[in-house]
Amino acid sequence: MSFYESVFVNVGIMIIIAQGVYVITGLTGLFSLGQSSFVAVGAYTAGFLATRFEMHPLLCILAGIVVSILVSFIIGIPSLRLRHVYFSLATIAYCYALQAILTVSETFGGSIGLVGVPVVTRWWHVVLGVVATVWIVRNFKLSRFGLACLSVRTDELAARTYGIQTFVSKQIAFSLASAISGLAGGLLAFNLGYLSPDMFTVPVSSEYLIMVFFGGLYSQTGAVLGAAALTVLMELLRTTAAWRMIAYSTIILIIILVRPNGLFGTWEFSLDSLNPRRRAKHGLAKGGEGV
Amino acid sequence: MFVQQLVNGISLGSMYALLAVGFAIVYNILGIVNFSHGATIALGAYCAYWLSTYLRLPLELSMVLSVTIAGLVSALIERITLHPLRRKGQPQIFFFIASLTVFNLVTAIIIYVSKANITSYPRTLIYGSIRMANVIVPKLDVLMLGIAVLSLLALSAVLYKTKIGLAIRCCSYDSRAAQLMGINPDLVIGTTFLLAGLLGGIGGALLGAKYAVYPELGDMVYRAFFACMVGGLGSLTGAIFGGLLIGLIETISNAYINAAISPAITFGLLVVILLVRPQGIAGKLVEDKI
Amino acid sequence: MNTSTDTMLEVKDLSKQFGGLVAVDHMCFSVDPQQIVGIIGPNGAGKTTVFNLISGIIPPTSGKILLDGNCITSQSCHQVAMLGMRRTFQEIHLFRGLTVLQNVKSAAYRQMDYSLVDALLWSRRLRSEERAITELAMELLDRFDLAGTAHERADSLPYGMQKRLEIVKAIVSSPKVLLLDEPAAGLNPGETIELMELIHKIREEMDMTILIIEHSMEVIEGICDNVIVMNFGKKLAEGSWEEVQTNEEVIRCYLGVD
Repeated sequence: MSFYESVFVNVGIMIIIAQGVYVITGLTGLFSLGQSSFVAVGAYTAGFLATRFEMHPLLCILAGIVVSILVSFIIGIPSLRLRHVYFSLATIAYCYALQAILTVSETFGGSIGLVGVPVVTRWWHVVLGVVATVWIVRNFKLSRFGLACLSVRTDELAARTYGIQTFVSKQIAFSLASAISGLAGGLLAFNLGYLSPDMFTVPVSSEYLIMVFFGGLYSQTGAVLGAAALTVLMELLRTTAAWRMIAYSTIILIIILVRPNGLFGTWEFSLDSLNPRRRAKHGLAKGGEGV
Repeated sequence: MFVQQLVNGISLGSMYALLAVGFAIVYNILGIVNFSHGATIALGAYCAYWLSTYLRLPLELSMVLSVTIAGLVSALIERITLHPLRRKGQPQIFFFIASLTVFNLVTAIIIYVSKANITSYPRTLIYGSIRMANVIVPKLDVLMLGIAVLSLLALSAVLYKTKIGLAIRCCSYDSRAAQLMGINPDLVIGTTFLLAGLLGGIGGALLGAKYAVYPELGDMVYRAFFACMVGGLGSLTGAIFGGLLIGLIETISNAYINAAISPAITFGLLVVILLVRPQGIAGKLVEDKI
Repeated sequence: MNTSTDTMLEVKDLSKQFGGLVAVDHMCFSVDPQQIVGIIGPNGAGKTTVFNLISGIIPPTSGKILLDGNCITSQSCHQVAMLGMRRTFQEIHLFRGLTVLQNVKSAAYRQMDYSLVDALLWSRRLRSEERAITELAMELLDRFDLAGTAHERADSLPYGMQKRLEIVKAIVSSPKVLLLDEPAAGLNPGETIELMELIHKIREEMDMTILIIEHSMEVIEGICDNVIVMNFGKKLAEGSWEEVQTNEEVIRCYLGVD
């Protein structure tokens, strides 16, 4: 695989992860610092099945998604009942716990990690994954479920008085975000060929969150382009990891201070917005979560 | 054996308590989750290391200096990043992300400068141990506990005996009313961050002496966050309890089960406590105003 | 319209204590279908607490609440909402940042019942249901003079329009019972008259039972069939505006004469 293809694949995987963060934090307003652990669940499930049972990569990735959803469901039942920062706290706890479990478990290679996963992810796999994810997230956002998540984010009490079950809405968003992270994890496993517990720590989750923030937490377009831009930038600055992190954090700090809603705010790309006549008809220019 | 672990746990817990109190005073006054506290913890350890290794200053002096630096950096972070956000009245999430980013930035700088090596101070802070019956307590642990108690006493003296302490307490009850009373919020918040930074620095410097000096030391902030929440929101005593509790759970699960799995046990138990008592151990349940 | 019961909303012996404070003290009243009932009383009389209890936001300490024959005591907020109750709040609770149309559609969440799979795959069923709801919402916005603002951000509207939007959101799913908490607060005299006309229109066109908390006696006099007076968590008097107005206890409570 050439350098450009590997950059391309990395960018694609990051875009997918960013979509998951967008669903849980941007749409639903929950600050999850445990997204990296759902990536880990997807990656380890896929990697384990591929190395141990030599299953077809596609099946492995699908299994990773399913396990991710199951885990998010079980984690969600207690933690989504917690409010405000307590939810973030629970996700931090979960991330630490999973890392500890992966580190001690012999089955998953302990602290060395899983090695020998076949490297088969090609650029078109990632393109497929990105297109599917973006399309599904867009559908979710525009559907009544997405609207329910938005209303839970803005005013939970009012949402309840309209008959919206806030817990169910959060659970749906959490599971969808985890499924997306699981997909990204599967692609990651088949891209890197090895996995270790320290690839999925809380600081890694915080990087995901920051990445989405860069493009604009409340814009799906922003999440896609922000993730792409930052990842490309970091690949170009291919010095040490620490340097990358310094550049990354500095850029984000400037963004927060200068343009707090991220580069895109709530603006969304749509085909209508390219056409001035339809734009006038739908009043799209006026914004408002960009639907 | 068990008493031994209990003593170790309390000593470690006292450090967590320091970090948690530093986290809690900022939370009380601004209602924000201040992850940048982690940066001051790591700086507390690293500045002491750099000063004592490269400038060959005595270790004790280096620690005192590094604690001061951590406090000042904490106030500086507030001034540069959080102050502009506060002035614009931005929602919570921006503080959340900004403090997280600052934390990442400082950690990255430390990794860059230190080449990500795990090191230790040029000499041990204090040698030997005290023996009482079957219990062996390293003098370092006693020192840590002593410093923690002294620092907390000093903090409460500042909070309850000085004018600025009164202003801090006023602001944590109702910052708007405090402003109307002529209290300068910038000064109060700056001081709070300074105090938090000092506590973080002390914790970091001593944890560095107990374990090692490594860049991820700042991740202790997540334990501080937990201690603060589990102890009870808005209560400094609660944060101390929370810190001790985490220290104990961690030490005991380390000793009796498995060191690698102990974070899973610790954090699992903490979530269970939060589910059973969402308001924390010492906190009062605050109902949402409708 | 429901003809199965004579009373639409029945509150029996309802009490709520907050620690030592008795906010609502053995309240009893019932509301017939299509009635407009006003609840008045001095500040702190427990009017809003009654609304919070009825709409399931907080559970009562004791007592019983029946909505159209169904017991809704201690049911959670969304369950009560699903049985056909909507409310507005004293202060505005719009979904800020969403457009006016999105606000109305999110209030009509329960009227759509396509599944999550439909949503993720953007199925034909979703499209037809969404279209129907959008049409319904636009029609309603049109009737309440908000159609021109459908794509504006809800929090960018002037205060009076935001209040009107709150009411539109509350009635979009044609609830059986509508609770309005101080709808006229903060409105100017012209807007208040518009509001009264609007409430009349809702009752007549949509067969709704309406409970209204209001400090403006003009509104109470103008639209209520029945008035309940509360003081210190207790029901002081009940009856038509004329009866209540001349009730000695009510006069004493309002004028503070012993």
